[in-house]
Amino acid sequence: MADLNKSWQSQMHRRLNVIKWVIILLIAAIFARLVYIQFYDKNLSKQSARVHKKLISTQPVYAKNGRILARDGSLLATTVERKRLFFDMASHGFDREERFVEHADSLSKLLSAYFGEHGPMWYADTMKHIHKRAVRRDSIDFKVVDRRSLFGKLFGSKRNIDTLPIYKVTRRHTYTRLFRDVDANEWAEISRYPILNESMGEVYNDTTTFIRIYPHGDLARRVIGRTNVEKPYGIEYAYRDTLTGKNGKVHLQYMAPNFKAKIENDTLKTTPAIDGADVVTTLDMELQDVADRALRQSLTEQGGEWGTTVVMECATGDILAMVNLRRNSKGQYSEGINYAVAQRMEPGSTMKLATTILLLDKAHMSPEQKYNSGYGRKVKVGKYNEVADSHPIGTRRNPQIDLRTAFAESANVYFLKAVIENFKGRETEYYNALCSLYLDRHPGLTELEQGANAVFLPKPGSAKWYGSTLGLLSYGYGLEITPMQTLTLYNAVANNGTMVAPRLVKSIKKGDKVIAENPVKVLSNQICTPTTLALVREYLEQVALTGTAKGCFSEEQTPFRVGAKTGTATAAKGVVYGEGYHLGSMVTYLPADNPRYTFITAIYKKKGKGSVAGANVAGPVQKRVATYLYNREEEWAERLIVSDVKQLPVDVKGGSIEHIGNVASHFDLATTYTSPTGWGTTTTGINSISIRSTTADGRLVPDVIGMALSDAIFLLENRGLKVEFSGNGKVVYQSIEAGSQLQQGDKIKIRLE
Amino acid sequence: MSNSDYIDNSTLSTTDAKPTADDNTTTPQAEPEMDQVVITMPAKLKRALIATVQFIRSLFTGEVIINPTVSKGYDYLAYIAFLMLISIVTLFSSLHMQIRENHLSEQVRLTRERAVRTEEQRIKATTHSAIVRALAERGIDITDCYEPVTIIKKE
Repeated sequence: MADLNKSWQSQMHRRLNVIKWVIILLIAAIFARLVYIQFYDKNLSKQSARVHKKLISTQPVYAKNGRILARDGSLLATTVERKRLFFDMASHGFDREERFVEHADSLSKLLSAYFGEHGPMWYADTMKHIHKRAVRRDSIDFKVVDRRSLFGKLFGSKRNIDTLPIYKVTRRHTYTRLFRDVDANEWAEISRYPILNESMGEVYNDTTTFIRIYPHGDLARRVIGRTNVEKPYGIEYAYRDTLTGKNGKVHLQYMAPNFKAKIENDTLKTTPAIDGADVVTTLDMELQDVADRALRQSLTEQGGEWGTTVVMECATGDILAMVNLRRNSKGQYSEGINYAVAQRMEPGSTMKLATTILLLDKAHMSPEQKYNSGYGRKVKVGKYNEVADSHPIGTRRNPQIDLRTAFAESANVYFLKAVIENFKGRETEYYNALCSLYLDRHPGLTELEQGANAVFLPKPGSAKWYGSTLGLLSYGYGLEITPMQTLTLYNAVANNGTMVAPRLVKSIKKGDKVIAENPVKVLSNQICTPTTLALVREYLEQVALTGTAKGCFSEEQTPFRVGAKTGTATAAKGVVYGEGYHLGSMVTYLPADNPRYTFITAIYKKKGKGSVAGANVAGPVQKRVATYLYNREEEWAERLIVSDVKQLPVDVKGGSIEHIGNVASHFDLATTYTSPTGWGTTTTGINSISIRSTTADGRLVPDVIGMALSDAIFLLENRGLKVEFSGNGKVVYQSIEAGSQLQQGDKIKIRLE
Repeated sequence: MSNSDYIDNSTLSTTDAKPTADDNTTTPQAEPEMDQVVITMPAKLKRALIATVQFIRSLFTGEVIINPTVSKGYDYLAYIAFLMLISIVTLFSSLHMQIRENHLSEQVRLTRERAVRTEEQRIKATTHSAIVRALAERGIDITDCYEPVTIIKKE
């Protein structure tokens, strides 16, 4: 027995020894592996990265691009997220046929109701059609149970399951878009729909993209700009560094399924995203809209090639509106090149302001100086220049005119003679004086257009200075400048002689904090003497009252006074003259006595459809812009003079009972009503008013007799009726009797008197 | 160590046969019958096994906490438990904060998008052109007013 025990013990020891050595070897192996991994394994970094990747992931934190804002803070451009869904109709999620059919039908109805782009059948058919093509099932009989086996004997005989059909499924994974990109709010709604709520597995892929949106559509589109084109332009391009944010990154550690926590340590640093800053422009979108509509209408009526309208605030040079329209291949007008900044052309008669300033200031010519206008005939002056006025100026008997008349009537002959007489031999002085008026360079905003060419003002003595140049310059030929330069010059006159640079960006903001201001840039403190300034402003007002712009701004035309100058220049098409192209322009400032706004319109068109004269081409646009500006300025509006005599209303129109009560209280009328709120019709007495409520029941036609048009339309359309009306005043007749049952979409006629 | 130390009559018997006095007198020449062999476990091993079993049982019964060895380390255990508690609280609070942050970020995103869309709609509906267009659809043609504006009342 002792031996047996001994043998058993030795056996146990042996086994223990084996186990011990196994453990030792295992430890040694582990240690060796550790040493190997640490010092010799070439895949160490790879392995480590693999593990690291499983546990730690890095996610980008997208920076928000800055917005472009109008002067009142309304949005001009902003970046939003859009989700794009691609359905994989071959996915496993759609495998259960009956479930797919049921869900596809529900989804189709919901998508149709939500997007309204297609009917439910379109969605259902599209999905089913693609699904049918994407998934092919080939059945194969597969023997799963042997009938002779126990299992086969037990079940096989009862339920014929010795063979089961199985399917070989071939999937063609193609990705289909069923609806447009959706924003986060839309996704929050539609992600609850069947199939989209992920209850059927991975049936779609979604990608998130950031897109730039422009809530104002085509308005000021060229000025606001674009960067995702071959040749970027506008504020988007000029301020791309400010607007573009810098993406950051964050490190996430796996914690649990579907949950990762942010981590940060010495090696894994979180980099916060730096959002782009907002650019606050000087644009006034209401004015932009008015100017756009006016220019568009004018171009359409006259068949213009392109046109530009710019409105500037006198004191600051702020660009309130900048419209650039050109005719596209379809014959429609859309925002094109920024002509105001980038299109240099011979300005024509608008140049005569500069000439006048130079004649009065530099040549000290008397404003009473008279020259023979030639009464519309072609006149040769000096050796090289020959010109005629567009219309006879002065009288046949006495064609002698002074500077005032010459300016008002835009007499080319007069200015040619005056300049030749006063500056012949003083060309350099003349050139330098033009330079001091910023006619040799851009006053600003060239950053908006990459292709903005240098302006052209020939220098005396240079190859481009010809014998006729001095004379040509006097009435706006021989040089090429942009509409913005012309506007800046006129604005300087309107701004009491101080020339300010055009300003389109007011400040840079981050949230509510202004991080950079763009101050008003003064180009010249005084472009001319006060005496000259007073004279030219008088002349400009004369142009509007009795001169070439009288068709737009004479006393009969508008209740306000402006300073204006028209210009008509024969223009080249490319480099070829003589094809009948003209540049018609007009510059205006408002009001004449204490100017607040200066604005220019220039239209390039071919002779044929209507006149090419600046007053006729650009005048209507200028007049509409001026009228809008005048009407919206409260301080220019007349105030109602309150008399001591008590006035009583003869009649108070029906409408909102609260509003009627408000009117009644102002006139101290005794008011009786059946309900203090809602809508009602009135009966006006000598010192009282009685309000009768109209039915609040949405199924009945309301009584709108006695109401104003706006109230009647609001009330009737709110109940689903279509309104046709005639006349003006208050409603005296309605075609469907009040109180009768209404049908949605019924037409009701109302007559006002 | 005597042989008797390795003898345990009570356990690990592989046979039902009772040991007899002759069992101790077997000689190498006379091999014992296989069904009479009693394999005994070394006492040391047995003690270790018993101790292990008892320790495991005490873990389940809770007697482990009155174990003198364990009771000496109560303060350390309490400290470890405290640290674990703090760790759990921190983990869950960070989880809670992160979920809240995600939720708030999502709300901000949705609100921002809603604001943009509302503003877009407002712009499209209230511009000068939009009003002119809407009135034109109803047959109302508005023209620019060339009369001076008169303010009746200003709030």
